[in-house]
Amino acid sequence: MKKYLIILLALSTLLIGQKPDDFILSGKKIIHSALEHWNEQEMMNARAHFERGLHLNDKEWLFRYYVAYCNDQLVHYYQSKGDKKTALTYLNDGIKQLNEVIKLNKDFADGYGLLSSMYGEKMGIQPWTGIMYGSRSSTLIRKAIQLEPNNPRLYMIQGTSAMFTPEKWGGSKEEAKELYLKAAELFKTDNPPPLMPHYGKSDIYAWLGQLELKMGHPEEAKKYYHKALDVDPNNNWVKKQLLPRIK
Amino acid sequence: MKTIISIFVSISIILGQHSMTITGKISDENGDGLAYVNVYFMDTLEGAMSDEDGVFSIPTHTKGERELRISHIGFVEKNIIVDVGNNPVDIQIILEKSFMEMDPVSVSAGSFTMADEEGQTLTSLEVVTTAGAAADIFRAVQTFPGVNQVDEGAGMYVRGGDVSETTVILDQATISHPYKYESDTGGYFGMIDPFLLSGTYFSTGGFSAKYGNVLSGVMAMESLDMPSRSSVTIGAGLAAISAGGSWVVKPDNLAIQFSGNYSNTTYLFKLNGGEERFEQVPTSWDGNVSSIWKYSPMGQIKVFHYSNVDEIGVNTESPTFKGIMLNDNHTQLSNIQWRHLTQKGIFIKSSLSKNQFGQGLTLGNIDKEMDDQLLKWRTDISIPAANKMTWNIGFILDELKTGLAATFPLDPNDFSPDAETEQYNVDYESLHYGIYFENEYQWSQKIFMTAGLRTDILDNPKQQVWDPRLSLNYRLSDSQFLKLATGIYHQYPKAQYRDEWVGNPDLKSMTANHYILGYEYKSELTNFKAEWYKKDYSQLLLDDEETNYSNKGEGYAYGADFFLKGTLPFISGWVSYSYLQSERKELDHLELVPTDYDINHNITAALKTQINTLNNAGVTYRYTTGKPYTPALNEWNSAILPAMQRLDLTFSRLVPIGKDGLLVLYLSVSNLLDKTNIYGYFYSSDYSERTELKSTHGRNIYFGFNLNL
Repeated sequence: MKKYLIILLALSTLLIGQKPDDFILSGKKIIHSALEHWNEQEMMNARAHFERGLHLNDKEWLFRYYVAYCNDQLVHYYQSKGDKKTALTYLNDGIKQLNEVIKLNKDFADGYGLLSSMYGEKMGIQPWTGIMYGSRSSTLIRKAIQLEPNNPRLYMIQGTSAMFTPEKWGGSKEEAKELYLKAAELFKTDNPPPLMPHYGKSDIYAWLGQLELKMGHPEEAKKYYHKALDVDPNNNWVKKQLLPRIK
Repeated sequence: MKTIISIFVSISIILGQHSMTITGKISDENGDGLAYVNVYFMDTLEGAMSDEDGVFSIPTHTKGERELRISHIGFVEKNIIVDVGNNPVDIQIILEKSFMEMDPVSVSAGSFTMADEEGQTLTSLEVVTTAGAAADIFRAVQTFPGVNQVDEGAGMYVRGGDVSETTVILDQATISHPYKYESDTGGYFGMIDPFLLSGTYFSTGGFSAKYGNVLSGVMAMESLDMPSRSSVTIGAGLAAISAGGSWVVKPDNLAIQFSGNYSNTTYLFKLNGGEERFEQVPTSWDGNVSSIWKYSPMGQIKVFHYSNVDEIGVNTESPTFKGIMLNDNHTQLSNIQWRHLTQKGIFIKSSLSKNQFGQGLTLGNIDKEMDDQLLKWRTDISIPAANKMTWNIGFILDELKTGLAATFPLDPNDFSPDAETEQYNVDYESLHYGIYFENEYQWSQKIFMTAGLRTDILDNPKQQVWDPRLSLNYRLSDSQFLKLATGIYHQYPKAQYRDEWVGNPDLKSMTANHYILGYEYKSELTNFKAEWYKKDYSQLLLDDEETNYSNKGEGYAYGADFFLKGTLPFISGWVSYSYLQSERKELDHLELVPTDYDINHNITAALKTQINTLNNAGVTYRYTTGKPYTPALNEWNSAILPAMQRLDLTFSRLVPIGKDGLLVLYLSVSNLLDKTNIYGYFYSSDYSERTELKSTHGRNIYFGFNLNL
């Protein structure tokens, strides 16, 4: 009897369709799984999932944000495979989506943050665009921090920007470390509502590790990578890519 | 037992419904299967993604005709209707490669757009960092093709037309006198600070019906939107001090913004020389205050008031007169604008504005007092009529009152006190009504069309004109466009020409027909525009012995404009070149002769470099061939002035202050080559003597700072 009820319940869910909130939560699970497996197809699936929800008007900004977030992950994926052209396609689409996001919800700090980060990535792939996007990227992250001064993801983005920007253009590894440590501290108490972005808790240590490596401290880097795995043992980025590089 | 039976009945229904499956294959135009395509029903969230071969399968439970969306990055999204019944459905879909989304504004013929967004021709930051532009949007626009710089001023001379042939609009309000230190040839600066603007549309011809009725160009500006935070700005330079601020009374609901400037050029001329040329150095006050109230997420009311007073006294020498030219102006602009977006996507903008301008001018025997007042109500409605089709409808009602009391010499070259003069007393009032309709339609991925019609009715003298306009954009590839625009443009003669004593009250509107063919290449880092144009003028004003003026004038202009903007590592900027030939039979030029502003070749290069994130440098070089002048009686515009050259440099340093503050230090050197350019001659009555009308500034240095907290 119980079995039939479970089948009925499961089928009913499909039958009546998921509510937008449930739909977002199930999409976040697909993202999580795609990140765990570092799998292109799964991430595409997550992107498709959120794209389907775009016409649900009341939360369009959040659906669009997650489409862009999936794009961002796909950018990392294609870059790791050396496919810059496809990476740029997803990067440009992500930037377009996020510009819409901040028009639809002017108070959504994570939207500004991710947009700033994607402009940063664009400058990374096409360094000559720095003259166009440099100031826009920093204005966006400043605006995001002004909206949510305790959002750790924003300091993580700012830190990454400080780490990758050449010193003569205002970058600084010391400043990056300061920002990363601030983010790590804030992550300890970070508890966003379930529908909102919550990534970064384990990644912050991965970034700290990369920074230490850049500063010539491989042992420190290793410690941070292990710390990342303590927070999330399934962090495949650290497990399969970052850690093996220094072993 | 009964419950269990009903559960089983439900399960069988559900399982029965799940037997419906939509399958299919998605391919590109070459027939190759497309992977990762998103296929989903619009009424539910059911969907699937295609596999490596482009094959998909969606189980569904809802019968009937349903809309299916097929979407994939880099391809044109498709919506199709699928009849979901008891039988399996198998569909084959071919997706076309997509181009960038077509933006009708940024690709329309003859136009430039300016805002802090991507895809714009010029951002506000670029306006203030353009060397030689003196942080003035009009002067920055003078570096674009199709705009001639005829002197050191900010006047908009578009494709051979004079400044009155370009209309300037701010938030729907017409600014009939948009210059500071205004003279007959424009003015020294534009009156609107670029930091007050959120976006500007500038067109050198072929503009659509909604932009109104003038012979040559349009500059339509939008003021700033709701500020996100309260801030204070102060600035000081060698010749000006300014202060301003934004006060966010309630975030996203109510904000007040204000700014004021005082400018006095005494120290500028003390440092750079040339003080002796002025009896009264250029001095001005201006201030503005605005308030935005967002009464709902869909609507807002904006109130704006601007006031300016300026004066200048120049020591002038001509063969007939040696003395002072005194000029003082005052301008006021008040505007209240309502904007609302309805649930159905209809966008309404309506504004009520009043623009007042007063001018006093004395030069020898010339004594002019003028008052101009324009009261205007304008409403624009944009309706999404159908898929890819927008209707724009608008109504304009304005009342113009002009009072002019002036004494002018009968011989236009003789300013001496004992010369014979004529007294003008013009008191003119008229009502104008205008209505337009235009249809913006995207025929296909490749063709975008705007077709419009406007009619304008004037009550004094009674007349009605009809102006059809058409523009077509054809996309050659995802970054290349062909553009075509044509239309009829009318412009009423100025009030003094319509006066019953000194003018002719029966004068009709002057007419221009525009024909434009353009090509544009637009990528993320490069923008190239080439345009060929022809303008035919008819019904221009001509001196007439019996009626003072008639509409028997005529003329033409043709030419080509080229614009290249690009970003290279560490350097960005643009280069523009204009070729122009224009002749008119107009006013006292009783034959077809080159127009006063027929500058045949005009080259400008405006380049900037970011030395690092905090230090920027810019250079602007301009070369223009001379404009025509009249060297002898009745030999109208038969000679050409020497060519003009100018090189300007600017350097700025950004100093971050605290979390959000920014200090900008700047230093500019104008006319670095110290070239003295000749902008015209003052002649004696018999043309036997002349004096040169030269540039005011030699090489000169300006510096200052702006602090935003």
